[in-house]
Amino acid sequence: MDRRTAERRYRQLLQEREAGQLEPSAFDAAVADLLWRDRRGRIWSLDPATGRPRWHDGQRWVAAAASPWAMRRARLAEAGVLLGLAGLLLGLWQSGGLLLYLNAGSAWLGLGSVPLLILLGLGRLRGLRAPAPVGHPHVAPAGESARWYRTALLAAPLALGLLLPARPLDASATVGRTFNAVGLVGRARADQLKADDTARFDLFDWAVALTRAPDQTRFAGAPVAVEGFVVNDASPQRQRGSLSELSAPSSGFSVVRFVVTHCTADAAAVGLSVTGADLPALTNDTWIRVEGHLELQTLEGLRKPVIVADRVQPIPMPASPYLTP
Amino acid sequence: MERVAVTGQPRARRWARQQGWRWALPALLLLLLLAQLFVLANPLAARRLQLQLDTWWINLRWTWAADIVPALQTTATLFLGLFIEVLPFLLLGVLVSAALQELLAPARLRAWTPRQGPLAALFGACLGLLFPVCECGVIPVGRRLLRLGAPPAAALAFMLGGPAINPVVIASTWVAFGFSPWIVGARIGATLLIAWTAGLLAARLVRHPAVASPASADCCAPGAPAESLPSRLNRVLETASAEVFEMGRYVVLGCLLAAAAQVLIPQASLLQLGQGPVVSTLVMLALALLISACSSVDAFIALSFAGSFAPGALLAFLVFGPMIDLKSLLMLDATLERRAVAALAGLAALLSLLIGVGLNLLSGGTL
Repeated sequence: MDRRTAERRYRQLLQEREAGQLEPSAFDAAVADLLWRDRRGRIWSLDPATGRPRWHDGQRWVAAAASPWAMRRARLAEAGVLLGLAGLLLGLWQSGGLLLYLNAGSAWLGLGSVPLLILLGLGRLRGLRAPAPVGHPHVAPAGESARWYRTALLAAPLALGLLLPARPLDASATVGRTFNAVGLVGRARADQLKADDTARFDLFDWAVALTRAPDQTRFAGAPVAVEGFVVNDASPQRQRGSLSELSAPSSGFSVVRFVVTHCTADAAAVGLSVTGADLPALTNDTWIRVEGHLELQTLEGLRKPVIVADRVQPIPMPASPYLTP
Repeated sequence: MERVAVTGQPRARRWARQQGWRWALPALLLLLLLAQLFVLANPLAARRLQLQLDTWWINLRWTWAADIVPALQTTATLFLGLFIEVLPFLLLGVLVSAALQELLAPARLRAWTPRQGPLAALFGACLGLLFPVCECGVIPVGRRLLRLGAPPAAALAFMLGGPAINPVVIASTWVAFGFSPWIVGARIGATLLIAWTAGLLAARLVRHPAVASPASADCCAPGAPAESLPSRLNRVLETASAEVFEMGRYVVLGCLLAAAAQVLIPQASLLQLGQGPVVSTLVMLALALLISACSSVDAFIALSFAGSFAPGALLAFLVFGPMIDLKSLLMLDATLERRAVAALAGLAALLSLLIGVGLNLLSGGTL
């Protein structure tokens, strides 16, 4: 038996004891059998109470040294992950990348983690000089491999954030996403929207107004000026998406935007189809400003709104690509 | 000491591995031989098979290029969004948990907490009013309460009820459903009822309150050894920074699962399943599990379905979501015995379903 096997078996026994399948005395006896020998011939076992390794000096069990190099290395890695996450969040905040993951109103949440991460990271670093005493198991005892495993898991978002350039949700994310704008704002915002002020509506305002309007014909001919990204109507995203709940697919493309209440996980897509005489060929995810007017077109017996574009102009992606309810 | 040299279980495992490899090579050779015989005997069928495989391969490559890469990118964006959102709550949770460990004497906690099951569960379900964070913060604190010797019914009811019965969530529900104030009251009432019932029943399955740590908190219980405040605060940091890894891994896995589930199981396909009083409630329960949204914003998400779903289904979403989702399931699994987790999740789902269906039938489907 080696240390890793002993630690694995110890965790199994611990689980069995917690599940009530093993009496405490049987647990202690089973743990006492988990022995191995090191290269110097010393006999090692695990402390049944803490799971920490200990060696026998011929007369009694002696706890393993509190902070061998491996332990320091593990603490250093943990501190690196915590401080790295703080750095990542600060970097995202500074570059505006945080707004690709969170609603502008919730960005403080990302920043709120930074001081806490730094505090905890420094706590880990501090432990390098003054290691925790043996037998102080306020967290579950973990073997070296388990410790590295959980450090690696927490490092995953850090690695992802560093290696992948921050990108907003795009055309591919509209597939299968629900669309029901009215609920996102309740009734107050819908009542604030004025039919004679449509040139100032964003796509979300349009979604709310059109969904809630008892008679959409009142918006026929209304001026439209909206910004969003392109989802081509022929693309699988448009075909399989749920944008058609609001707007009729045209031979052109749809201009789409995500509405994010808090973070990208709660994003909902809103959009309108665009049609017109001289529409430029645009690829998915191109950011555009569309100016024109609204028309109602009949499709499969249902009248659905479409923007008839007078002008389609590519624009850079806004700093905050998501709309706020 | 003879047993030191005997490595029964690993040896058996090594032997099994060796046996597996010993058979793998002949099996592969046999498969290749059979394939060759098949091609020789049926050249036309072999050609058809090859064409079919080519088509699959082309489709696979197309799918990879057209769907999988963007899907992975979307998953990464969803994952990071979710993780960044829940991270401060997790950090707050582990800090409070560590502070409880180092600064609150177990004896004092036991004195404060009602001992009788029903009262303890009610106390636990309402404890969230003092600690307004979502489940990522509540579960580490509940776990610590268990270790400090709080009655299991109180700790479990807190873990279930805390994410919803807190001022932030009540306020956000009010903002979202201000036009139907009864749904705010119904959310609080139903959450209390479910947290109380499930906490009380599942507590019987928690046999060892000092879950993961065999040596309980008494080794450095506050007040036992005379220690200075700075030293205790240092220990708070030490414990919290270790616990963030202990619980954080489940948050990472939960966020990853939730992000992947959102990409792989489109919401629209769930919504198409049905609108009846029972099916719509089941769909919203599944959606709550899938989206794994923070309890402070889930009212707005529920509101977005107000036009499509009956109020009972919305209420089930509001009640069940903060209690059980992919993140919290993993965190609970690390905290409690599996049968207790199964009981908690099962009871929460069943009671949410019953309340949702009942409300659907009573309300006739209107808010």
